[in-house]
Amino acid sequence: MVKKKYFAMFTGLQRKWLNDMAGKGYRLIRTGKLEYEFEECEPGKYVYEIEYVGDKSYAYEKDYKEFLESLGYTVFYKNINLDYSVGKVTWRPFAEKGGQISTTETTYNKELLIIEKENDGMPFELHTTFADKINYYKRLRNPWLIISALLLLLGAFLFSPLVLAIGVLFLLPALRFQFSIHKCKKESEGTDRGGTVKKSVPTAIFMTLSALAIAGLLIFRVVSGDRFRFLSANTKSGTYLMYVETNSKGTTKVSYHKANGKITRTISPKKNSKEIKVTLRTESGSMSCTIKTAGGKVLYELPECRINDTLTVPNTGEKIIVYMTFDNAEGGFEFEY
Amino acid sequence: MKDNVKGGALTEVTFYILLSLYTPKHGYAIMQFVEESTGGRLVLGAGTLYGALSTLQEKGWIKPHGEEDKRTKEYIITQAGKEITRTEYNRLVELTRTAADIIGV
Repeated sequence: MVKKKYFAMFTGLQRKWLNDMAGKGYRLIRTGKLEYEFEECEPGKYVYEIEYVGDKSYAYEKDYKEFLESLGYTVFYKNINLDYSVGKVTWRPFAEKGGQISTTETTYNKELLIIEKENDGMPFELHTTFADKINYYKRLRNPWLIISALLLLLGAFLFSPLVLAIGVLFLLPALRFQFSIHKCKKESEGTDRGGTVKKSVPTAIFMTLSALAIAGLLIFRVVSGDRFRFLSANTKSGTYLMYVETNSKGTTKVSYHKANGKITRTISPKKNSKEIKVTLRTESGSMSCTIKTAGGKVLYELPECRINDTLTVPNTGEKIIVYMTFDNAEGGFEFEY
Repeated sequence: MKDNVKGGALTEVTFYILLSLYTPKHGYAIMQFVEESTGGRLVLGAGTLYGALSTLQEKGWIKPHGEEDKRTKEYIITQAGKEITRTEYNRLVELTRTAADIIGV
């Protein structure tokens, strides 16, 4: 009996590894989260296939497993190693009815079926018609499309190159499957595809809307120049403040409406700037402000009133911390550093 | 091609499965029937067969047969299934007759 660990993000890699093991004379007898248990057998006696069923309901998976077993195959449940779930519940917007919320009672940790059959010299294929192959590739492709779209949306909203880059990275497997779909369609053009090619309508709608939103957000960001955020912030003391913040090199500008409570900002001055300027502008309501160095030395202390002032702090290299307390204030503040 | 009741063609896979189920069969027997009937040309993968059986059941052209024993669930063709098979057969006869006249077989 041999235990081995294996991690792969794609079913193709896992399939290849299992078949390589089988070729060496190891037969799968048990699956765990990351480890697999094998027993020795005649080399090449068994072959393996892997089927993704994460978008299906547990009822479907169970019925399918039983069907496969009735054909004489041995079937194992297996989790996918890419777990994008929170706690024990995973939400899959691309799944069919019954597969959309996956919990321990459903296909959670059973997203894959590993299927074993005795090697009869024929290639082990579960999907043998073009229509069936295309439909299966679509099912494999859609989760990657959705994750990529969500990341790109987030990246466009935050205008973060890193998030956008990860979003594009997740698009690559989707493109690979799309290429396979295209190949199948071309090869079978004008012929009996052996079934009906299903249209992934909800995914298509989601992707179209996402693409429009992403394009819109990116164009808006590029056109508006600076990094720009609309946020409802939860300040440290639990107050809500609606503010618009723009950040460009060495400047932060914030305008807010109905600020109440405390907000603290830390400014790290740039090496070559002579001074840090803090401009406070209260249009209505009142605020108080204290500016300290990171070491705790008080530089400015302004009592509660309607402050309209620019305070200057020479740049000593040390960070400075601006503490502001608002009382139903409307206005803004600017830091130049 | 879509499977269409009104004058459309059935897919080969559908037609062979319906033919196989004129007598009750379970999955493995259906696979064997199709493979033998076509001399190995048409081999049904387990995934394809599972999907096809679901679709044909939804259409009402086949139904489960016999005991509740899940391990070897059998299927059989329905009356609607037989009608569609006959229609398809007629279509194919017309097709081969036309071809025979032209090709000269």
